[in-house]
Amino acid sequence: MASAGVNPTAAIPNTDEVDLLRWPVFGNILKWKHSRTLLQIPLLLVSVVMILHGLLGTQIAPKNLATVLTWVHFRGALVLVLLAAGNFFCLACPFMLVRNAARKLFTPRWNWPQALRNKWISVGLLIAILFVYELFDLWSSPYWTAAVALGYFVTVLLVDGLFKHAAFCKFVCPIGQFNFVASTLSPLEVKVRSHAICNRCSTKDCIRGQRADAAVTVRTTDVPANVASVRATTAAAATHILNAGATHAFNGTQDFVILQRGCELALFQPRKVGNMDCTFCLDCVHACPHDNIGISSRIPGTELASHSIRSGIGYFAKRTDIAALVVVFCFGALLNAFGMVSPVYVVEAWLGKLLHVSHEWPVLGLIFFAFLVIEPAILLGGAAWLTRVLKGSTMETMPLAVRYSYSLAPLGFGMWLAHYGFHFFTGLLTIVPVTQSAAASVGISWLGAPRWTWTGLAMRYVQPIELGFLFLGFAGSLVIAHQLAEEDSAEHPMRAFLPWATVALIICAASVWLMFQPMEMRATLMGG
Amino acid sequence: MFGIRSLRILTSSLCLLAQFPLGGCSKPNQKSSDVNFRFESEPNPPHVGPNIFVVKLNAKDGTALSGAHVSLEGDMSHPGMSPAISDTKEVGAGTYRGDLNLAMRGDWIVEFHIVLADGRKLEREAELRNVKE
Repeated sequence: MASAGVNPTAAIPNTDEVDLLRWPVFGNILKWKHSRTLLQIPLLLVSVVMILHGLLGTQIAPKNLATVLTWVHFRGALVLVLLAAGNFFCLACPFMLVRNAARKLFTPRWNWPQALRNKWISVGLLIAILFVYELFDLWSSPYWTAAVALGYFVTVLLVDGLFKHAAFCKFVCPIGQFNFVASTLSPLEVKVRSHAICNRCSTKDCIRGQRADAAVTVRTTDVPANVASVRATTAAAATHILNAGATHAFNGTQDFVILQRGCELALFQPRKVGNMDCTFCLDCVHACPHDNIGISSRIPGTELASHSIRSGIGYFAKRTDIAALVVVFCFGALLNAFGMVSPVYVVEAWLGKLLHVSHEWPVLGLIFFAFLVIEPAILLGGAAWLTRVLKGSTMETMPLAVRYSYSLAPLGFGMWLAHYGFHFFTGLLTIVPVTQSAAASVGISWLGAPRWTWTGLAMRYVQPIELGFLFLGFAGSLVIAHQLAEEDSAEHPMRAFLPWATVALIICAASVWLMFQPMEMRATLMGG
Repeated sequence: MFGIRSLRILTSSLCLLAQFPLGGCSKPNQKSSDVNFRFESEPNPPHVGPNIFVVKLNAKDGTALSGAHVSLEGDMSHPGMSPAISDTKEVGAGTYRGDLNLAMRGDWIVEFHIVLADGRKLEREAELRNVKE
């Protein structure tokens, strides 16, 4: 059972791929058992300072760490790291550090309900966050930005305090879902180095966790103070006895200790495909007794066109919830950008007059409905119907729409990159004066007087970068749509490809139009 | 390695960190109630582009407060945008005039950083909503 009897086998290096874990120094740091904690601690400290400043500091958004760090630096760095590397922000997630610490004090008892093991809750929460962001103009409110961050910590503790494994990450966290979709376009993936080694592996520690016989290895009384004890059924133990830290468990008649948990998100490495649902937590890397898991390079986006069954996920084509997540990811990008340009206020005022309402929420609700339901229904439904007609497919319209909706992920990511990249690059240096100012407010003067003129790159330099991101996303969407079309219809791929290329073109054109609209950021209610 | 003891240390450190700003956070520039502050803009309301701001400072008894240094700072409601910063000149007794270029549509917050002749510092803010061309 335990990995103690397994002779570590050197994985066969694949010279075609770059493996971050094989890099000198950096690889060793990442492979260190506490590397995640090392990355999480600074982010937790920054979060605490940010929350305190948001709640207690100046309420002028451009001068508060909560708003500046969250809406300028965090968002921008997040998408850029996802583009350049992978889901490293989930790796360094400070919420999980707090959760892991809390799980040393109390142990969750329940499994996440079967009926909720999908992305619908997180899709709803992602929409809710986008809605709240617009309705309450979160970017302009340090207090509410901090309150939302604090609320996030509380929700994590509540969900993962009640439910086992990584229920919050996999089924609830809207930021995590955003990262999962974006990371399908990342150049790095946590994956098996050699499948031959996996085939010979009998312990499956990457999913089950690294275990040791408690009777032999350690008596219950010897279990270190940080070891949480849990009872697990044999069936549960077979899949996930994957609690925080080393876990003392019972497997029927035999006690065992989990020395290193395996994947909490139910991704079995040998059958894992791509980055969807992978938090880069590296638990599998630490658990694998054969040193057979790396962070390897790959061609970004290829997983979107893959038909393979995915461990912990199933088939993309059958996951309507994940397809809906991709749709919200893509159309939400347009919606979020639409919220910061002048035409949104014209539309709001017009709708307000039409509906005879002065509150923003019903009007905003209608705009969200138009962007996230009507527009995708028309575009995707129309394209799926056309695909069906053109290639004479026997496939129903809905499954076709689900299948091809994944091709929109690159375009959505391009738009997020353009938007968040804009704020990141144009406001890159604003963190300096804001930090100086925050330090000065608590009596720290050695950082000097705030240099408020430090901002970032000029817009004229950033706009070409924005366009570059957008066109990169557009090209990615075309490639994925073409790959799907080729698989569907080897003889006439263009018949399936053209409707989806048209959808991508329409979205891309809308994004370019949005980019060249005059920016107008109002933190006031409609017509206020 | 990271046991209950480490957890306690972490919790204590976070509490200490939390206490630090709580104890030290006070606005350095308290509002002075014995100074009357008024401002006007030209055009009124301010628009996108150059605007003239005229600040008038008086003591409670109506005496004009001359010799102050008044600087203007305009910030967008969204963080990360370039602020507009300028100084004013005293154009009459207790009257200060300065230009501020509001570069973008939307909501702006204009801060008036004032150092009176006797060294007292004042901060005043004005929200400019829905600034247009």
